Amino acid sequence: MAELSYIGKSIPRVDGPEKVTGRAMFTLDLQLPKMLHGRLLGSPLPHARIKNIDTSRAEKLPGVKRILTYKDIPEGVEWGVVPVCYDQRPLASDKVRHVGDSVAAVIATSEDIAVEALDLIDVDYEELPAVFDPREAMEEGAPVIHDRYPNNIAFTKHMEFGDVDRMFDEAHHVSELATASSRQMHGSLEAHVSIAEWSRKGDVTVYNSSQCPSLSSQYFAKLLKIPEAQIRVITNYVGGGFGGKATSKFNIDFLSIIAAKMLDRPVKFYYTREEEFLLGTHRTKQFHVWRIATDKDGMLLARDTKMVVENGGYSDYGPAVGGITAHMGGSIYNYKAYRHHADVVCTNVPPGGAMRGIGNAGYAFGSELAMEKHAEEIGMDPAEFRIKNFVKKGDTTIIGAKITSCGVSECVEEAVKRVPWREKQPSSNGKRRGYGLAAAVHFTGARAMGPETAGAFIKMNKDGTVQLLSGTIEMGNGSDTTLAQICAEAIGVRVEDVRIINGDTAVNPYGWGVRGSRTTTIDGEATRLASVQARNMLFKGAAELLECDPNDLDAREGKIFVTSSPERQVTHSEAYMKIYEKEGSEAVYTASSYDSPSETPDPVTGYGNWSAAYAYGAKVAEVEVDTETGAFEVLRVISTNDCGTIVNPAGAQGQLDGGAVMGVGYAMMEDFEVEDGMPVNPNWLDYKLPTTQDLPELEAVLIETENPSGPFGAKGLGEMAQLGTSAAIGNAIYDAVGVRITSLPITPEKVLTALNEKNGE
Amino acid sequence: MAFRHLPANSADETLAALKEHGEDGKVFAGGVALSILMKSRVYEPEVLIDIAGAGDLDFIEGTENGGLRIGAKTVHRKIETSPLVQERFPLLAEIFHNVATIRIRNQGTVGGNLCFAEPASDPPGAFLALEARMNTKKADGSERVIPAAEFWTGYYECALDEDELLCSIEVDPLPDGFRTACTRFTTRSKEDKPCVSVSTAVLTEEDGKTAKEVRIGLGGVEAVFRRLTAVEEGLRGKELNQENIDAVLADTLDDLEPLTDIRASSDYRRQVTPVLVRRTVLKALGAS
Repeated sequence: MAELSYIGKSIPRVDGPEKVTGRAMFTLDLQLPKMLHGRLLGSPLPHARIKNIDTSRAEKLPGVKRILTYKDIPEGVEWGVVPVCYDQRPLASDKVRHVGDSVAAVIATSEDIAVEALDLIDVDYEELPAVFDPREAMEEGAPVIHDRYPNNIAFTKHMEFGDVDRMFDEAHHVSELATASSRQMHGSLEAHVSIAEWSRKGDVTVYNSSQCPSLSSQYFAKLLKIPEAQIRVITNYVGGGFGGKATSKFNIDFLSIIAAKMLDRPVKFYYTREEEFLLGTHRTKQFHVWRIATDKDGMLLARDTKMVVENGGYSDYGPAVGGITAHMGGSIYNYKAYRHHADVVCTNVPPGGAMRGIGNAGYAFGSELAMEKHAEEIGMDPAEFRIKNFVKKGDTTIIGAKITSCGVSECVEEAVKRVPWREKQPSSNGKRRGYGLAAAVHFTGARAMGPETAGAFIKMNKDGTVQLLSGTIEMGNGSDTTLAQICAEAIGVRVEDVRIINGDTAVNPYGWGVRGSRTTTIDGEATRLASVQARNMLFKGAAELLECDPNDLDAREGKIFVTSSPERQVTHSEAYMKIYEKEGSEAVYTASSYDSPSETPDPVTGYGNWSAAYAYGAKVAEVEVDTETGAFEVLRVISTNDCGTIVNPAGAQGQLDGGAVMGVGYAMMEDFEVEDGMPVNPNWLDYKLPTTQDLPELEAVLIETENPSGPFGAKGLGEMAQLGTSAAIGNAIYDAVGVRITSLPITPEKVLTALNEKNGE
Repeated sequence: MAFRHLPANSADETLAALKEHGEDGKVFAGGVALSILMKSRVYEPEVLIDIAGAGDLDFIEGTENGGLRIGAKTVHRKIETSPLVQERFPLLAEIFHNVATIRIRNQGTVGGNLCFAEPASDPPGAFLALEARMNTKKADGSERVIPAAEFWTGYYECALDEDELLCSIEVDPLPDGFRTACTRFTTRSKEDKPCVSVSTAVLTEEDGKTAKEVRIGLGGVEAVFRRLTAVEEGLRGKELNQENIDAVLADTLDDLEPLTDIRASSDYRRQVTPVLVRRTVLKALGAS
C-alpha cells in the first residue's frame, strides 16, 4: 500500500481544543429547565434485613417532591452482566448487602434539600452476620448473602483442556505460587450521572454517562417495558470511564427514569465521590494459586490456576472476570494441558466490576510473578523462558484462540534490550536497583456476551464535508480522532472535513460502546466499510467528469484523481453534484454493519476463538529499593506493544503512557480498603492515585504487526497499555533485593517485612 | 447541613464572634480541613466565622532580631515563596513547599494547619525544631505566648481555649552555626500526607561533627507532635555519625507510641522512624 494520508500520522485530537479550554460538555454539567435533584440513602451496615422504611418525616420537608423505596420499582427490574447473575436492583428491598447499598432515593427541588431529607428517613434494620473475605464466604456455614447463591458462589468458570494431572506427574519441574490483587478505582473525573426527561408524547430521553448508550437503551426498554423506539439515550463526552461506566445501566438510570415519569419533570441523579467508591464499582480483587509444569528444556507442559474472585454484594462484571481470565491465560503461552478454575464469590463489600483490562490486570500480576518464579527455579533467564513459550502467529492455542498476528517476542526483546538486563547492579547507600519484566495479552473485543458488532452511517455533504455517525462514544480514549482518520483516509477527504456525531441512540447506529479495546478496530472497520461505500458512489460521478473508469480513480485529502495521471482531478463536492443533480438523483448516505470474525465460545468447555485479534505487550520496570525502609522508587517503565497498525502514534503513546501510570498506581498505592465491611478510604484524601511527582520515566515502543481483520491492520490497545506494569515492578523488586511481594499494592511495609524475614529477623 | 455564615474582617471581630457563639462557632480560614469534615458530615458547626477578610492576620514580617512573624491566616504558598522566609528560614520554605499541592497551598493557612493538629502533617515538626512561639488572643483582650513544645496537646488537639484565636507564629533566628534539614517520608504517593516527618536543627562544636545541641521535631508518627528530647539529650557531646546516632536512638526511642493508619502500621513506623531521624540529623550535618 502506498503511503497513507492519515493512518499512521499523529493527527491532533479533534476533541482537544474543546477539552483543554474547558468548553467541552459533559453530562454532569447539564442542567435542564425545571429539573429536580435526586439523592440516594445508603446503608450504614454491611448486611442487614430491612424491617421498615419510614419516610413520613422526610416527606414533610419543604421542597421534597417524592421519596422512592423498593415499592416504587416495577417487578423485574433486575440486571447484571452475565445473565445468570442478574441480581442488582435500583433500591434494596429485603436486605442491604454492603455499606452504601441504596435503600431509598429522595427527589427534591435542590440538592441541599435532598441531602437534608436523607437524615429524616428512618430505616429499621435487623443486623445480620456478614462475611467479607470471599474465601471464607465459600465455606460451610458462612452467612448467605443472596438466597440464589447458597455457597455465596455467584458464578464458577471451569475450563480444562488436555491431561493436566498427567502433565504435572511427568513434569521435570513444578512450581507453585499464591498471589492476590487489590481493589483499584477508575478515578474518573466525571461521576456517574443520569438525567431523565419524559416528553408530552410519552417518550423518554436519558442523558447519562454510559460507555455504551445503545446497551443502556436496550436494557431500559426490556426492563421497564418501554418500546425501544420511545427511548433516546444521549451521552455527551464521558469524563473518564475506564470500564466503570460499561455496565450501561446504573441504578440511578432507573431511578431517574421512574422518578421523572412520576413527577413529570426532569430528574437528575449523580454519584457523589463517596458513592463512586460504594456504588461505582472497582477493579475486582482476586486471589490466585498458580501451578506451572515444564519439561527438561523449559517448555511449558501445563498450568493449573485456581482463582477466587471477590464479587462484592452484587454481580456487576465480577462473574465475567472468571471466564475472561481463563481466555487470556490461554492466549499468550502454549501449553499441552490447561486448567482454570475460578469461583466468583459474594461478600458484604461494595461490588467489583470492570476496569481497563477487565480481570486481566490482577490476573497478569499473579501469573507473571509465577512465570518469573518458575524461570528462576529452573535456572533460566525469565525473558528467554517466556519467549520460548509464547504463542506465535498461525497458532490455535489450547483454549481455541486463533492467533492471526503476534509480536509478543519482539515486545520482550525490545524491552529488555533497553536496560542492563540480568546484570548484577551495584548497591549504594543501602539502595539497590533492579529490573523486572512482564508480558501480557488482551483481546480486541470479546464475543463474551453476544455478537461483536458495530455500525456506521456516513452522511456526505454537497460541499464535500462528511458527517460520520458512529455507534461508539468518546470517553477520552481518542476514538473521535482515530475514526475521523479512518473515515478521511477511506473517502479521501481532508480529516478536518470529517465531523463525528455520536452518543445519541435515536440518531446513531447500534453499537457495543467503548469497551474491550474494540473501538478503533471494530467501530473503525464499520467506519471504513461505510466510507468505502461513500467513496465508490463519489467515484461514479468523478469518473463521468474525468471520463475514465471508476476503478482507475484514487482519492486523497479532498481530491479525487486518476491514479495514473493525478493532475486529472475533481473535488468530492464536484463528484457529488454530478450524481446528485440529475434525474434519478443519488444522495450519498451510506450505512454499514460489521461483525468481527470471532466465535462464541463453546458454552460447556469454553473453547473458541472469542476475539478477532489479540494485542500483546511487555513492560520492563526499573526500581530502586531502600533496604532500610522498604521504600522503593519506580525509576522507569518501558512499554513495548504490538497493537497492529498504529492509526495515530501520538494517541497510542498517550494510551501507553497513561496505562503505565495507572499500572504504577495499581502496583504501589491504589487500594480501596474495606475493613469489616466499612469503607476505609472512599475519597481522594485517603485513597491515593499517582501524581506527576510519582511518575517514572516513561518509554513507549510501538511494534507494528498487521491484524488481517482490522481497518488498515489495526488492533486493540487501550487496555493492553496498563497490563503487566504491576508484575514488572514486583519482579524488579525481586531482582533488586530478592523478596517477592505477592499481593497488591506493593507497599514499603510489605517490602521491609519481607526483607526482615529474609534476613532472619 | 445548615450553618450560619458570619464574616469577620479582623482579629477583633473574630474574637467578638467567638465570644458570642461559644462552642457553636468555628473559625473558618482556608477551609481545607474544615470543609472536608463538613462535607462528610463528621462535623456540623452552627456558625462559621469566616476570616477571609481578616487582613490583619495575613502577613509575613521580619522581626528586628532577624526572626520572623507570620500571621495565622497566611496561606502555605505565600510562606513557601516568601523571599524573607527563604532567606531567614530555608527549612520553613522547604517544609511549606512540600505540603500537598499548589492548589491546596494557595488555600490552606498556616494557622489552620497548626490548630487542626492533624498528626500527619509537616509544619508542626519544623516549628518545634525552630522553637517557635504561638501568639494568641482571647475575647477578653488577654494575650498568651505558647511555646511550640506546649501547643499540641493531643490527637487533633491544641492548647487553644474555645474563645482563643491564634494570631501569629513567631520564630527567633537560630544561633550562629545551626544547620537544619527535614525529611518527609511517604509510603504511597509523594503527594500523600507524611507517614513520618522529621525536622532537625543541629549545632556542632567547632570540629563540625560533635553535637553541641540537636533539636528534633517529629510528626506523622504519634498522636501528638513533639520534640524527641531524650534523643536530643543522648546525642549531646557525641560525634554525629551513623553508628553513634543509631546507638543513641536504640536507647532513647523506647517511649515512641506510633499510630497505625492507612499509611502504615505502628510497627512499621517504629522500625523506620529511627532510620529517618538518623538520616535527617546527618543531612543537617551535611547542609551548608
